[in-house]
Amino acid sequence: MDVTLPSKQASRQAHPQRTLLVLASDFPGAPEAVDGYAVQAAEGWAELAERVRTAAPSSVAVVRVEAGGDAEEMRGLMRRTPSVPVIAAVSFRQAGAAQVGALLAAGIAEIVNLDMLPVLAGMVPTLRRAHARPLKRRLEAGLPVLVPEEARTLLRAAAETVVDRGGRPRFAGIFGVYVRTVAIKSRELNLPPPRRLLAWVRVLLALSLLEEAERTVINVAHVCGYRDNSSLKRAIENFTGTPALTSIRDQSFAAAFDRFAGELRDLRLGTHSRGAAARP
Amino acid sequence: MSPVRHRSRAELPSSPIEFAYPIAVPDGTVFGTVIVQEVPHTFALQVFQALRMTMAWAAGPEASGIEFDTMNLTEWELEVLQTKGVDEALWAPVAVIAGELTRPAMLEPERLSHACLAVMDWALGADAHGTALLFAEAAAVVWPSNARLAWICGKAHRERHDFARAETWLRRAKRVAVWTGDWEMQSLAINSLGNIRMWMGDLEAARELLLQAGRIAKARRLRERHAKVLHDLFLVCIYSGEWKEAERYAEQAFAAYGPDHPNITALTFDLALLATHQGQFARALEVLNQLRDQFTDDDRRLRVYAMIGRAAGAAGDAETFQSAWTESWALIDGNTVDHLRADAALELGLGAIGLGFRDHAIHALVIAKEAAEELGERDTLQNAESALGKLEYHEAAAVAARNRPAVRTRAAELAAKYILVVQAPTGGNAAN
Repeated sequence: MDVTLPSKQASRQAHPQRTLLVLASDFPGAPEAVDGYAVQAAEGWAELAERVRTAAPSSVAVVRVEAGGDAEEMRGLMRRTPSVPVIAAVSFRQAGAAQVGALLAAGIAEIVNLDMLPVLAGMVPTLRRAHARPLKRRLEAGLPVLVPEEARTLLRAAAETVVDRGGRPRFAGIFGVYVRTVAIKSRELNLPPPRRLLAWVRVLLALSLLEEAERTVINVAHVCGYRDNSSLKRAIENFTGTPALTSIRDQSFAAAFDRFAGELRDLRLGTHSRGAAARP
Repeated sequence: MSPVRHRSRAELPSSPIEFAYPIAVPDGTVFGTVIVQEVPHTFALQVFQALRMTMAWAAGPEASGIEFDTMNLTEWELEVLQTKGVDEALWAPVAVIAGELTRPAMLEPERLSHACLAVMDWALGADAHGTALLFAEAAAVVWPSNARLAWICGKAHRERHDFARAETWLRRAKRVAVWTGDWEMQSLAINSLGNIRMWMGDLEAARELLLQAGRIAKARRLRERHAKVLHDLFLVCIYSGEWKEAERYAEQAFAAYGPDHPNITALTFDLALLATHQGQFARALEVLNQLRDQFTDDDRRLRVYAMIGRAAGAAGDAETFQSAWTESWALIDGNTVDHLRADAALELGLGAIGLGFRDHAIHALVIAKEAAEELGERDTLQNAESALGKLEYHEAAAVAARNRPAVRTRAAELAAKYILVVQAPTGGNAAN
């Protein structure tokens, strides 16, 4: 009954760079790896926060939340490093609907019911659903209304690809199609060609990471797949069209996103020259 | 149903980008969040769990098999069965879902899908619209070869004014219907896509889609379907101002429906709409007065009353306007026709302007404007703002005229001079 293609499933399961961050006390005896995720167990909140601070956005943190607790540490983690998805593992039976509702409202990337899924291995499909969710949320929040739903699906897939530092083959692999097919679809939906779309999303990811005060510029460059600071700076300047006069942190996500949205609008209205758009 | 045209044995067409939402590429929201807000807390988490498990099953064993292998499903089923004090219309289908998912190897997609539809049905009755949408989607993804379920999702999204997502589901319904050789569904899905385009104001695209739906219906001799398409083409022509074409489609729709068809009343109402657009308010009022008691559902009753208000206002019939005004607001305030509150208020406001009922007009137009903003109805918003602007302009002009000192303008002086000339016994010669 599955509507997805086998090749897509295969591409989804190959994600060697992803890291699963947990507290050792939450999951005693956690394995070193679960289905493509390298598990890193921190000894305490300070260590977990430090790891999340420098973690790639493809990482995911799973935090156990006690029934009745306010999950303040988890909220702090999400506030300081919003680019890394945080999954709340909670016993639904003990917590109740009100607490689950509060956790969902707090902005967690996913939730796991520990009554049903007590072990990390069973949580892998949930980890995959949470993948790139913070970036998807930022992109979706500002997209112009004229962007159709299928174009949004392509953008979400682009976000998943970029967060995994993937390229066009991986992007097409999410749908189980050839790169050329995605290029044709992008054109039909008035999106930039896949290469440019991925480059745009990579720049937006970098800018969102630069907003996190505790990340260094070189860390952002590396986790986004740029060679060094200058490659990152050049890419941002190329896409935003404004040079960073003093620091690269002067560039804002909002301004860059406006430019991206403007490009989407121009493509929709046919006022933007595609240039090499025909080439995937 | 006609024989299937494709040669592939696959259950579905290969269009993975169109079919990627909601499973293959999930969006930014945690699936099912709205359930925790809408469903009574005593049972919300069981419903939340049921939806997420259904979606996980639909994703297939490669994506979520490990979840099912490690999950304590029997305990969950027991918990659902032991829950007390929940509306049976919700509890029973969730129990069926739990029962099916606990034995995934023996699961029957049709039964699971029907249970999801039953939850949707409960949710609609309980004003839990977000939950209803989610379970409609769940029903469609667990039984993906059923085009009608995808169409139901499209309709449900359209009702909530989420046209982008509605289009996605309707396109999916069309693709699946083509694949399975379900001509009626194919025509219906294209018809619904055309209607969405019409509501979005893209009348050219709407006409193309409706003509396509009509061709399919005609070729397959789906008489009733064809009549409905002609009816919708009639509406497109009204909105695009092609009166002659509109009348032609109305005649064809009437012939295709036949005199005893229940949609004849709706067609008559649309004829009144045509008369209103043509500015023939007295004729529209005559037809609408005949329709006053024909409809029993609040939706169509409100449409009739609001349009009576508009036509009566324009025709100068204050008494009829007043009764339509009272009836309409009773329905709007009843909150059962929330989606019409912008449109209906605009019609009433325009009617009030016609009669010079300034306070009535401002009251209705301000409500129409606010509701249109909330519902994202750009046309209605624009019309309400324009009507309010005109009211303000006329009011300002009237105030200015009242406050202006009695100075004779040059035009007035000239007019007075000419009157004197005309009245003079020498007539026109005096002017020379």
